[in-house]
Amino acid sequence: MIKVEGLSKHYGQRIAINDLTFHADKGEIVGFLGPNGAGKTTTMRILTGYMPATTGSVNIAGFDIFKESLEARRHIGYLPENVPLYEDMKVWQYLDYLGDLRSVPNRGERVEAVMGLVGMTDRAESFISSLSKGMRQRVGLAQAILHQPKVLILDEPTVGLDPIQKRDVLELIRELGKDCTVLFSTHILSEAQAICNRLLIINNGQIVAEDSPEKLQRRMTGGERVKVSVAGDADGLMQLFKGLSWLDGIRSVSGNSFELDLPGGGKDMRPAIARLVVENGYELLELRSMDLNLEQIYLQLIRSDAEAGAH
Amino acid sequence: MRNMWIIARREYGHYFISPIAYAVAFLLFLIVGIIFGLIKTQAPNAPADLQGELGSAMTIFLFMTPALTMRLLADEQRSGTMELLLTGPIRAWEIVVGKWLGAWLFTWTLLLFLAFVYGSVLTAYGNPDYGVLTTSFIGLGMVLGALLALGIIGSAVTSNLVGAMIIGLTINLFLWMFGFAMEAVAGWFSTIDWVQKFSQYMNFTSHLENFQSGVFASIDFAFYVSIIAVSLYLTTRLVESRRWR
Ligand SMILES: Nc1ncnc2c1ncn2[C@@H]1O[C@H](COP(=O)(O)OP(=O)(O)O)[C@@H](O)[C@H]1O
Ligand SMILES: [Mg+2]
Repeated sequence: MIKVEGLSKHYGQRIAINDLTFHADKGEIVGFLGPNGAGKTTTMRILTGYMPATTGSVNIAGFDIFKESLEARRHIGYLPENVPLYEDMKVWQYLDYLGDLRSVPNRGERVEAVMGLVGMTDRAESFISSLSKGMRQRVGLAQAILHQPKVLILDEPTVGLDPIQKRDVLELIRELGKDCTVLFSTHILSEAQAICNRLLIINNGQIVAEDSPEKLQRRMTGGERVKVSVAGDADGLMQLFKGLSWLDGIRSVSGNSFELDLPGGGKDMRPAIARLVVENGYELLELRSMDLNLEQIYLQLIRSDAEAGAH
Repeated sequence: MRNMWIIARREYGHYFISPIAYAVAFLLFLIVGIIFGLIKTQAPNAPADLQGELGSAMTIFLFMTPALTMRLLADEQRSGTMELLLTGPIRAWEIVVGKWLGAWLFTWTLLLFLAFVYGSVLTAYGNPDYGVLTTSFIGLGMVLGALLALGIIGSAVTSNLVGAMIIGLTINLFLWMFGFAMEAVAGWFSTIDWVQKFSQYMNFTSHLENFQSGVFASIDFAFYVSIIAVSLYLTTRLVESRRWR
């Protein structure tokens, strides 16, 4: 449904996104995850035909967004980051107007249905200028799904919402994802994790990781981290670990427990560690492999990317 | 094409909830009323026409149309709704022409109101030439179309309302003055035929005067239509170029 190849965008000297390649298939909800300034909005603006790219190609529902822009745009529902609304219109008028511009069939019924979906039926007669942030967000979403697009592109749809509104919007996106392909951006991992089939992590205009939340977790912890605790005195244990040249990292958590980063590569090194500890006369209390949670992976990816960029 | 009409309809309706539009209408009716009163009472035997009244209406429009056009594109840009329109299945020219059309239809409403009121008064107290009245109003309508198209350029250049108005006003006044300048030039080269013709063609007001004297010539239409076409084309390019930044 969405196919992006080698996409780059330069603002003058500044490279906002660099050689992005990804896809989103029918029925997928893809989370576009990255810190502020990573290039999420820029990418989405290119995908929706608002901006041209410097290089690369974008295909939406079978149409090239640059060469067959109008056709491609028919299949896109888009909620821009700043949720553009006409303040002087009533909720239903706004939806009716945009529905008219998009030639939505049975417009009256569809507007009613969409207002029901986002839970704004009882505010249909309210002026948009009088709505709260959460309601505005929902009207923006309603606008994006009005014409039943095949591709839904949502730029930070949960920003500025309280936790309950956030949960509702995510629930709604999950619901919408059953009928169309969704690409939504956020800088909050837990949101993406909650509803996405796949995550694209972008930093400094480049994709640094792409996978399902579970696989991402597994892959990133391929180099395993284990926690080692001993009973009583642990003097000299640190020295002992430092002697193991194949360890990727050693951290002392408290007086008698440590976190060790083992190298990936298939071979389980935990028995070797256990033996080392016991053979040197320490009493082993705990030897446990720790799962990195996605939050840590995300931070680690972005940090290592920043370090790589600094060199 | 369909989208153009949808946008035109929305903009037309928007003027009826816009205080600025009411202010423009009020000033127009007030000034035309005063001038009508002055002319018809000072010279009781004056012909039953609206030459002076509509001439002054043209001057009012010169200053007021930028107030009607300033928000047309600037507001969309400022609120971000332009992004919504341009990522929908809508072409840039449909937005620009639709907006202009909405404004033009609104000013036609004002003109029809004037035509109805003063047409009735003239009929009641005199014997007006309806043909001349009709061409006068059509001429004024064409002038308005041109002024609104010029004004909308300002609205595409900046998303600042006051800036958009000042740019529109500057363009209007420049074009108006240009006509006078051309008259002067024509005076200096009074023997060269094509200079005469060119200066006549480029005169913003002389074409309206033709309409007002009951002449219905295609060259006068062509003048205003070409201003409209060039301005709207330019504005469309400006709207398109905004997204290339
Ligand atoms: N119109 C613009 N002109 C110049 N630089 C821009 C423009 N828009 C965005 N950028 C830059 O491009 C980078 C990516 O921005 P953006 O796509 O908005 O990131 P995100 O949406 O992930 O926060 C940022 O460094 C930003 O400063
Ligand atoms: Mg952004």
